[in-house]
Amino acid sequence: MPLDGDPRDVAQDPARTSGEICMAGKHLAQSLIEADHAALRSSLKSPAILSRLDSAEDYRKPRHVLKIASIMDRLGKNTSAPAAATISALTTSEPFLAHEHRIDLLIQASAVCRPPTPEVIAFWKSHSSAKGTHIELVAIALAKNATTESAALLEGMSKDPAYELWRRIDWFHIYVLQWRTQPANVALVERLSKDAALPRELRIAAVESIFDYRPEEWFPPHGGAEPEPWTASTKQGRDAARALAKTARESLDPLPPTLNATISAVLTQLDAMDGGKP
Amino acid sequence: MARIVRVAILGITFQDDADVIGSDMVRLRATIGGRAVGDLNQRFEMVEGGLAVTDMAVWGADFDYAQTGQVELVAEIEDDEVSGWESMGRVRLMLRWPFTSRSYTLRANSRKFTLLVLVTHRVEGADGDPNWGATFVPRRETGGTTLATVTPPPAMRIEIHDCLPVPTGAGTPNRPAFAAGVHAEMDDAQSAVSTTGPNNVFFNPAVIPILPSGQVRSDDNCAKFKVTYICDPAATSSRRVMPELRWEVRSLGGQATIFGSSTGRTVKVHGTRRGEVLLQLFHNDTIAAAIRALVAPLVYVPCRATLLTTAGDTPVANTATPEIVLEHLNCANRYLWQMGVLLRLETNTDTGWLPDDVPAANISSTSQTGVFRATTPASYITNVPSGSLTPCINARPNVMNFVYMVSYAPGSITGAACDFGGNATTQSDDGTPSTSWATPSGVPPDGTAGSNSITCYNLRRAGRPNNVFTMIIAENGHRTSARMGSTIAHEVAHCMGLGHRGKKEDGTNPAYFDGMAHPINENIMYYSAVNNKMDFDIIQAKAIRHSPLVR
Repeated sequence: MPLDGDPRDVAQDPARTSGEICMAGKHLAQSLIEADHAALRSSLKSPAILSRLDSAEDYRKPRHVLKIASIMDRLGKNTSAPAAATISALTTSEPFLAHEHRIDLLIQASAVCRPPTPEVIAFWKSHSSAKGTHIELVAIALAKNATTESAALLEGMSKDPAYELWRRIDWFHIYVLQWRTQPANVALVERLSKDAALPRELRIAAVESIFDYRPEEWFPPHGGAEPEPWTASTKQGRDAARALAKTARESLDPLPPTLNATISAVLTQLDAMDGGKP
Repeated sequence: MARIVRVAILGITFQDDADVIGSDMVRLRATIGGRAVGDLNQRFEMVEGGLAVTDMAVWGADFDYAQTGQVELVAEIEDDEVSGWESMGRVRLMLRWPFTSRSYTLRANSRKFTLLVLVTHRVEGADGDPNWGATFVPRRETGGTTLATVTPPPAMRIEIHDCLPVPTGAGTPNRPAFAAGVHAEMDDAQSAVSTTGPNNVFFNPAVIPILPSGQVRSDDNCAKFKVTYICDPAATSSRRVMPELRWEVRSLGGQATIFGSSTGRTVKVHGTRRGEVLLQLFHNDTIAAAIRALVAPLVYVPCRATLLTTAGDTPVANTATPEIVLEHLNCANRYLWQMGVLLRLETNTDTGWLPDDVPAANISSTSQTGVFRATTPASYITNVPSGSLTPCINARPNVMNFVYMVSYAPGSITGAACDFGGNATTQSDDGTPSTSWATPSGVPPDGTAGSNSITCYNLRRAGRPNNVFTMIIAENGHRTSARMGSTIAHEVAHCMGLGHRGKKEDGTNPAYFDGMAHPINENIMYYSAVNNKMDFDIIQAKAIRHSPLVR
């Protein structure tokens, strides 16, 4: 049934039911209007509203079944500037960050902020402790964000031995793989591929994430991902891949034969997409 | 006589998508055969992957399908939005004659939800021999070629398909056409999987077990076989006689003995010697049908489960208890029985492998032998990465190790095999009938069965303990133990070296493809979650016997 009242008011009224607040919150989260997001920011910074939306008992469930999850999901799909401002504002909101589930949801939503604000970058950094529980979600958000800023942060993490080597390799084989045609991610891999100070297996894995796909070697039957198809790439992404292929073949010579062959196959596909010429 | 089909909405499952989950209640608008059904005032809570159970008496309708011929179901989920009710998507199902079995479920998928539909048949005022049962189900598969050229006297056709439920579509064999007014019988053997009772709930298993010495043979530990199809074109609607059927065991290297009656549509068997056997079904002293099975010792696979928790007053932990673990294993065993293996909690109480930051003092036993608790840092429990050492916590080599944690970073899962491998890379099978009746099946009118092979898999990553077989479980009280049993059986089979059966909807191979495209929906190793996958076939039963777990 239609919501009784202005969503901006309902979202900030703790006397409303959780369903009404959720409905209003979802409406505001997908809005392109700054005033709507101002109301949403106010709502999601309010301890009274947050506890009204989901009870303490609710927070014992997986995060994605929370009502706040459906609001954050819509926020994470909204590419408008007001939505980015809301996400950015929540990264410094003490009440919002008071529960681990909400931190996770915010990390996931923050991938949509392009370019990421300084607050969002600081938020990612503050939740990327090697022994913390958020690091994997941050790595996913960085790969998905695929901007110069996120790639720079992921590059720093990839070079940091505080993170286990297997973990850094998985970031590429599982996360970067899903956004592998994005120019910033390809450029990140090119930089890593020629960094001789890094373990060779990490540099190879990074290159593999762009050109190859070997699920049975990289992850368990239900723990992996599908690669972003090159048919979805831009000319900029394809050019970045060509540059990476050249760099990888020079700096990682000799490449494993299977990887070398897949690089050649991908380059042929890219050339075909560009009318037969690079 | 009226042949009634009842079409009812059994429930709704919502996709694991935060855009859907967590929203307020939704309502369902549905018509079946043009008639509005259900209650528009009823509200359904959106529960991830769960079932919003509907009242089938309210959400269903009966049709005389001799008159109707087809029934269309249209259903729409509406979300309570600011501006009013907003459609989340619509699904349509067209149920056409002939329906595929006496009672079965269908799924109608939209991007955000799946509707589960139960189709049942009954006959009112049935005539003929009551031994046929009260239901007469048409069984001319749409995917098979009807043998319209059969000339009188037409032969009776009897099948004992090794795959239950029997695959439909292109996987079905050619069959004679029915005489007018005659309907064949078919049971799909969708037995209920429950947390209690015997393990041998599925008919036509791949393996006839040889029981451990000293174990008394009984109804509860035999392999049960049944006819899956009977068609007698010579019969008429007013004269149906249940054919006399007699079973015999023919050795193909192995041996088995019939337990109880050797006549009728079902038979019970115990294995006595390793190898293969053919269960032959005679009608008037002529072989009418046969099913092949592997005879092998029943193997108890030792397993242990470790429930992870953080320390402190408000610990982060999976919601499972030792009792729930036991329920999960019991349900998984109903499926694994088909391959002659059963999970059994081990009595060994030694602490298993531990990462450096989890001291042995953090491992404790529980009221259930073989189930442990481990206090660990939260990073082993929530947002666990694919390569995490979580599944190895408290693991012992050559034991099936289950670790219950909370959430998985790469995506939402309820369970996943993590460390595994057998000694085989491929497994072949060239018996007749072919495994799961892969074409050519060797069942007339198909030609001689061909050889089939599957790829087997190992996943051993660096930096992990040797020879462990592990699975993580991230289910947190949203799924029934019966449903989790299916998931666990699938993942344990991965740990025994099996890959995924069947191709993806777009025709490409899924990860860990075993190389056989048939059957998909019915085989438990199909990569995607479908409602009726429950079968392990003989080639899979052979393959897992190379696993160190099955020794």
